[in-house]
Amino acid sequence: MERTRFIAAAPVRSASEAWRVVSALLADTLERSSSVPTGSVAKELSLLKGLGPALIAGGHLESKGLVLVDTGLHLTIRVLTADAALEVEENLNPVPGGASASDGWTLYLPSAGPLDSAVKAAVKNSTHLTTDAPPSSAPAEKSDGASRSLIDVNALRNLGNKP
Amino acid sequence: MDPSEMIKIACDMPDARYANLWDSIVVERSIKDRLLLSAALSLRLRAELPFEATALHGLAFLYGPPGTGKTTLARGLAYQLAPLTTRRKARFIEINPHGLMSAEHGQSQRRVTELLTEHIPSMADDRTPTVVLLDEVESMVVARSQASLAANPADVHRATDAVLTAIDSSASTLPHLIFVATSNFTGAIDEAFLSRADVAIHVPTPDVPGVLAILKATLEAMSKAFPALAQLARRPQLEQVAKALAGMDGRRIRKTVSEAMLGRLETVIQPGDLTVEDLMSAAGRIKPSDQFAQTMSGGRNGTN
Repeated sequence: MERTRFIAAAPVRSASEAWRVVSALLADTLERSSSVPTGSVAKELSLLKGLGPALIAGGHLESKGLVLVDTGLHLTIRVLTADAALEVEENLNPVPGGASASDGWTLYLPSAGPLDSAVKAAVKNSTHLTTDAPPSSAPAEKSDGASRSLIDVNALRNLGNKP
Repeated sequence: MDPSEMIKIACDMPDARYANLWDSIVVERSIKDRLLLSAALSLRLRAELPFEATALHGLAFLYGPPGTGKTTLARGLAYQLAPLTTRRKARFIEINPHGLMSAEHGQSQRRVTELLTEHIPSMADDRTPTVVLLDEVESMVVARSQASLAANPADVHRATDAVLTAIDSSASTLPHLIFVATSNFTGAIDEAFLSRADVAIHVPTPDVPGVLAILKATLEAMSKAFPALAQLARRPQLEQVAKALAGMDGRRIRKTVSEAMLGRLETVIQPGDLTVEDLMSAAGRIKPSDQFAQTMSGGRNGTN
């Protein structure tokens, strides 16, 4: 399911503070999963230290936003400024789908005009951050019926044996 | 309003507090079997196949007169489901439907959307099979064709739309979620919601053997404090009382016992002195509720 979260920047909060909110939302969402170690998201996002607030201050996350993608997870985070920031209703709770995130999660960064080259250089060696265009939807879960099964067929059979 | 305030109950199963709910409701075995198996089948199919293949929304609908045990069955379902799951656990979430509706313009829709597409999916994010009870669902999915102009029809439409959208979304993306909706007023429920139900199960008032079983169960439960009532529970004449109570719902049948105790000062002082005659007398005082006829007159018939 595609979801969008809106974060308020200036004049509600500074670009640096808004970036901290974005980082916390990403970490809170992904690190609910046992496949994503605690602290690993912040470590990855530290590659954008300085650039994250600059992206917000420049309005580059207003229309397209950051896009977090993993199996069953497609989250767009848009950071709004000016009047839109004053009107936005924020939801900073972890995003559904995060608890089953894999270690292959990817955060897609939008094109950022004059900051483009700096952003590309920063994420060049990252395994989770990219400036590629994001997919339009979350990749489907692998259809491994056995591992996805929710019901124990033998338990069902035993139910049939009860008086 | 914080979304968590819209949640009445949230707990993981097995939970001992829910162990006896299922068995406490006296209905035909086929009703319980149908509810449990439909939930198990929905979880089994939806986890392995796309919505396009199953057309299952993960929605069971229980309807019937008040006091017949619909809500209790729904509350007991997760406990019964837990041992059938691969992880041997399930979760139960009950929504407070009245907390969702607001007189403030647009708020009902916002609350419904937030609760069903954000809050509940988050609570079930670990893919534990989860039963979500939408009790008295008519307050959430008002029949849009009957929405009164005095009741802000735009908000009614939007809130109903929000529920339908959330059900559609979870059908394909959250295969571990099972919604169980209950209602006494099927005629007041939006048709599009009813059409999404994978199974609609009528929970009727009990027949004479059912009434007798409820009477006995009530007396036996009370015999823990007043042991003489256990003997009364075994009296064959109780069947006459059951016949006199035929047509009443389970809740009213249970209350007949305390009504009978109210008949004499002696049985208020010593409830264990209750007799079959006291019960017969109480059965004569209690008139079958005609609420059923009123509430179901606009309802749909049969099961699918």
